[in-house]
Amino acid sequence: MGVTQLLDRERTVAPPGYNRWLIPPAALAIHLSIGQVYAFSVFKNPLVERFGSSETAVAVVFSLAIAVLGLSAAFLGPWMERNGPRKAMVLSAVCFSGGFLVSALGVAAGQLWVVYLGYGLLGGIGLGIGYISPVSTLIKWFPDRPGLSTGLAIMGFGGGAFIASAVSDRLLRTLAPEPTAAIAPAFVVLGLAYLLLMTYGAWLVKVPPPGYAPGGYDPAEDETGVEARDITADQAIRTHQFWLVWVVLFTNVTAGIGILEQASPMIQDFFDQVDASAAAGYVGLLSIANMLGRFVWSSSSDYVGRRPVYAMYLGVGAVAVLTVILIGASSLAVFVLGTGLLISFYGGGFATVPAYLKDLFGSHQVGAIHGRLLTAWSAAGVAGPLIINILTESQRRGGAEGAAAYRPSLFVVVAMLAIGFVANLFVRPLAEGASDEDIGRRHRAEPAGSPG
Amino acid sequence: MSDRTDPPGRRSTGKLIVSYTIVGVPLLYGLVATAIKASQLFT
Repeated sequence: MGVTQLLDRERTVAPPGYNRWLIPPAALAIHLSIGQVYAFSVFKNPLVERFGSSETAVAVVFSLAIAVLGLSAAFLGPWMERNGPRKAMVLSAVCFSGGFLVSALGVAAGQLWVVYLGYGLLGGIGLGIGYISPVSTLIKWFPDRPGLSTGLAIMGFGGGAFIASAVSDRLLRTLAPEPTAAIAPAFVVLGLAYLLLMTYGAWLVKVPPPGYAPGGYDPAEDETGVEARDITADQAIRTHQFWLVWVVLFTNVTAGIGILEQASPMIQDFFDQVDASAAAGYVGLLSIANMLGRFVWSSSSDYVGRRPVYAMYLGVGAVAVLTVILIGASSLAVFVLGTGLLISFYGGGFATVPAYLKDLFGSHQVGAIHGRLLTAWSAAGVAGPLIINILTESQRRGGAEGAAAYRPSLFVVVAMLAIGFVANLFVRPLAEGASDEDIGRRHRAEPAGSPG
Repeated sequence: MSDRTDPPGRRSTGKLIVSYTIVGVPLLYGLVATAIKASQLFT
């Protein structure tokens, strides 16, 4: 029997009595690893020095990894659904860890393009597959609490950045006398460590047996009523519900990334007394808000519902940013609370969206549908920083200083959140009684925005 | 429909403890390191 056959979905079906609470740590093992991507900036200055290149040339490594993440999540989702989580997690582990090892070679040889190929391309594929690989499985094990289960996993993506930031910083200081000489060994150490942790997750994961339902859960009583519909990713993207949720995610992420990307200079421009060190503390605080929001808000969506929770993310988020615009410059506490709340909603938006998709399209191919939806993340990753940077720069050229320079861009953030809030209001369950074929036909014939 | 979430036996309890420790310890380490960094905002 080949190794790949050992990883097949059929061979990962859980035996009777298997404890479903073993699935969250399996998912966390993957997400804690790939969350490293958000700590890549730790290597930025040493890489610039090592290659004698511009900051932009090194920044391409991160941008490429994120772009490939979006593409691989979008295109490899159906493959992942067919082959099961274990094979997907192993592929993710091999690609992500392989990316580090190839990049170590590139750094040792002084070839930046090899780092693009390693961390950017190979690592990016590992990121995309890894990000979506536990989602379907978690939702099928926890149909009664999808928000909690995916919140736990996606919280790991935020937590992974904490761990990698602290560990990478230490590796760069201890593996060689100079950080530039420590990059390649640090990449090898991280690559091997992540290979171990991700393989552990792949070994732990199991899919539920056909017809599985946890005690006390009756799919027929599920208020979404779409469990049995088995909507595929191809069918889902023909529905206006998919694109409304795309807009919801896009606007929420654009607002969050816009603030996150400018967090350190922004707080220093708002408050003269905040220096670079205190600003770094503020960035750390936002990271904690981001991580906790993923778990707390996503879990609460199991009780209050997905649409109300997104209404809170977008509506209360808009009010929080408005408060920062109006009185944030006069109170550090208001500024920190307002932006911290917005970033917690940003994290919550990421973590809750798989459960939102499950409510709308059922759990059959929710991982693949989630993969397609992540294109909203890629688009927001470009739009968010652009909005803040372009508007703030133009204000500065016009003579605005301090908090005033951020006012127009923050108003645009409020507008984005308002657009997302309205889009969320229009999200309705798919029409009852429609067959799979009907869904495809109906949404080819009807314009977007028609009632579902 | 069967309930597969039976009360975990000794073997599954051990597995649960090991698995949550493996992912929990690094997460706690990262969280504490970040919290220490975050405290700089107030000092």
